[in-house]
Parts: sequence; structure tokens; C-alpha cells
Amino acid sequence: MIDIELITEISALPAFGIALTIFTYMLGVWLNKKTGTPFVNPVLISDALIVLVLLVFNIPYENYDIGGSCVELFLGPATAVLAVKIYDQIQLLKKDWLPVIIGTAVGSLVSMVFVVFLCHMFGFDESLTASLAPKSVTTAIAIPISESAGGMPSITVAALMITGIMGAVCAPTFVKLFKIHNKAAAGVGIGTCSHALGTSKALEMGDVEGAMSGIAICLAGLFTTVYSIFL
Amino acid sequence: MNINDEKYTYVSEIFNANLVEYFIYMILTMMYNQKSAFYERLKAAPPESCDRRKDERGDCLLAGGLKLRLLKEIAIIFLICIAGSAVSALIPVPTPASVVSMVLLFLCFILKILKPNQIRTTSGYLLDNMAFFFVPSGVEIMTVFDTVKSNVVGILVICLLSTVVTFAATAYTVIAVMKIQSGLKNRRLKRRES
Repeated sequence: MIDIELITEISALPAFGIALTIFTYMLGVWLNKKTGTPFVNPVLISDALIVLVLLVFNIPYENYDIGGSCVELFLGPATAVLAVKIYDQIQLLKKDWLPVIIGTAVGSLVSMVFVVFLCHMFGFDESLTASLAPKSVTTAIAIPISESAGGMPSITVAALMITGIMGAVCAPTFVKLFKIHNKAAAGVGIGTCSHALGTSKALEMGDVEGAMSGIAICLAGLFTTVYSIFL
Repeated sequence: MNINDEKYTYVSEIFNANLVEYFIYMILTMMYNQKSAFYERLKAAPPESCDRRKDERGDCLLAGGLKLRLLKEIAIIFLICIAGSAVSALIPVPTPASVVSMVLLFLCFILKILKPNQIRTTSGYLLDNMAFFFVPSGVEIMTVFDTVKSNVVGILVICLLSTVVTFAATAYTVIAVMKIQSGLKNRRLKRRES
């Protein structure tokens, strides 16, 4: 692969990571608009292109991370301002609070049980199972859960991202496949199965779905923390 | 020759120093004039051009227009995030700071400490582009690729299947509980009528 010191020096600039992320994301959005399918997801394309660039130019991941962490900085505020969308839907919440709570409780239980069951079927060892079990909740809850259950946090992060991207990509397909006409149910489903990445897709699908998805992240995290005590 | 050189240097130093001071004075005057012109224009600006529409934008204390309002919104959002991190650190159970800040912001809305319109623009921007902020996390998983190389297919299959099943289970449960609730309400109404 290409190996010039200038490239390594330039890639250590924060501007490099930020610019690379933005340009690949814009390319992904353009491709998404052109093809029209949700399977050409901008996040997926952006990730793939960035990894390609890092591999071809032999740039170490730490150099990209200097800029990448600047972009990740806004993830906290972006999750926090979900409260704005939730507050807009407060009338719907007052009406439908019980179905949402029960739905999230059942959903996170099913998620955990099903993952453990599949892991046993595939013959994965305890540590891998513990890393994969909390894959449906938001990152900051899943990592402590997997650590305390004896899993490897890096694998948990990988499983989380894969789940999130799958949720974001397949959310409209799921809604059509299972014929979920109720927007709140769709939102809760998306939020429970694919945390914040799915919520970003749910927000594109509609205000109600996005708000319910945001609530589902909180509640699913809560319930999964409780269930993980029995893991 | 030497003394002449020194005198010449001394004189030119004074001249240069005055020149520098004069330039600084000129620049400062220009800035002050421009600044006062800026404020004159603001005072003379008709209310429609200023972002002071009450219903859509909420309160806008500073008349500086869009730039200062956005800074104020960003400041509010980051303050909430700091408060969320602080609260999350104080709670004995490990909680995610971003989710705690979301709950805090929601409480602020309910208790009327803040209004959603105060952070409407920035929150709209952050939420519209939320997927973009997840890209670096996706790149990070390439560092763990070696550890999971043997199990990649299994992990992918597990992720896909469990995502589908979780979605279906959750959505159907929500719909089922809603149907039970409306069924109970209908039964109560029928009992009242009969």
C-alpha cells in the first residue's frame, strides 16, 4: 500500500478526519438518493469508504480518530435533543404510555433471550455470548452490561454498530413486512431493536416514530439493565 | 559613519513606532465606526427583519439575529449535556450520560424551565443529521475485525435475526396492548349504556 510520511502527517490533523467523514457521507447521501433503496445507507457507504481510504493509504486508525472523535462529540447533544421530539408528542404519550412500557419490556426480554439461544445454537462460548447479549440497547448501557457479564467490550461495540446499521437500513422494510400501520408501535419497535442509529432512521420516517423510538431507547436500556442481573 | 548610522536608526525607529501606533489607531477607529454603524443599522431595522417573531422562534433576548441565537442554543444544549454527565456520575449505577441528559431536558420542558422553541433550530439540525454522527463509531469496529474474524458470519446472522424478531415482538406487543385497552374501554361503555 502507499506509504508516504506526508500522508501520515496530514492524516493526523483533526481536519482530515472531519473532512473525510463529511465527504464520504455526502457521497453516501447522493448514492442513496440516486438508487432510492434503503439498503444503500449513507452510514454504511461512508464507513466502507473511510475504511478503504485508511487501508489504501496505510493510515493508522488513531490518526483518523483525532478528527472522528470531533464528529462523535455531537452524539451526546444529538441524543439529548431527542427530548424536544418526545415533548412534542406528549399528548400521544399520555394516551399510550402503558403499551409503550409493556412493549419495550417484552421486546428487550425477547431480544436477550433470542440472542442467548442463537449463541448456544451456534456454539459460541460464554464470553462471546455475554458480549452479544445487550446488542439492542444504547452503547453506554450495553458496554457496562457486557463487561460485568464477562464479555469483550470491543465485540459488543461491533455488534451494536451492526445491529444499528441493520435497523436503520431495514426499518422501512420491517414496517412493510409486518404491516405495522400504527406509527407509535413502529417507532417503539425500531427503538427497541436498534437504539439510536435506528432512531435516526425513525426520525426520517416521521415525528411520531422518532419520538417513540427515543423513548424506547431509554426504556429498553432500563429493562435490559434489570434483565442482565439474571444473565 | 557609525554615529550617523545610529542616529538614522534611532530616528527611523521613532518613525516606525509612530507609524505602528498610527495604524493601530486607524484600525481601532475603523472598527469603532463600523461597530457603531452596525448598531445604528440594528436600531433602525424594522421588526420583521429581526428574529423576534414570538410564536415560531420563541424568545430572542439578543437582537444580534441568527448568529447569536444559534450560539445561545448551542450553549443551552451543551449545558444540559454537562448537567447530564454530572448527574450520571453521581448515580451509583453506571448510566449513559446522553440518556440522562435527554431525561433532564424532558424534565426541564415539563417543569417549564425551558421551552422547546428555545433550541428548535439547533435541535432540528442535530436530529436531521443524527446518522452522520454515527459514522466514526462504525469505523472503530474495523479495529476489532481481527478478533471476530472466525465468527463474523455467525455474528452477522445473529444480529440480523434478533433485530427482526425483536422488532416484530415489540411492535406486535404494543399493538396487542392497545387493542386490549380499547376492548376494555368498549366493554365499559357498553356496560354503561345497557
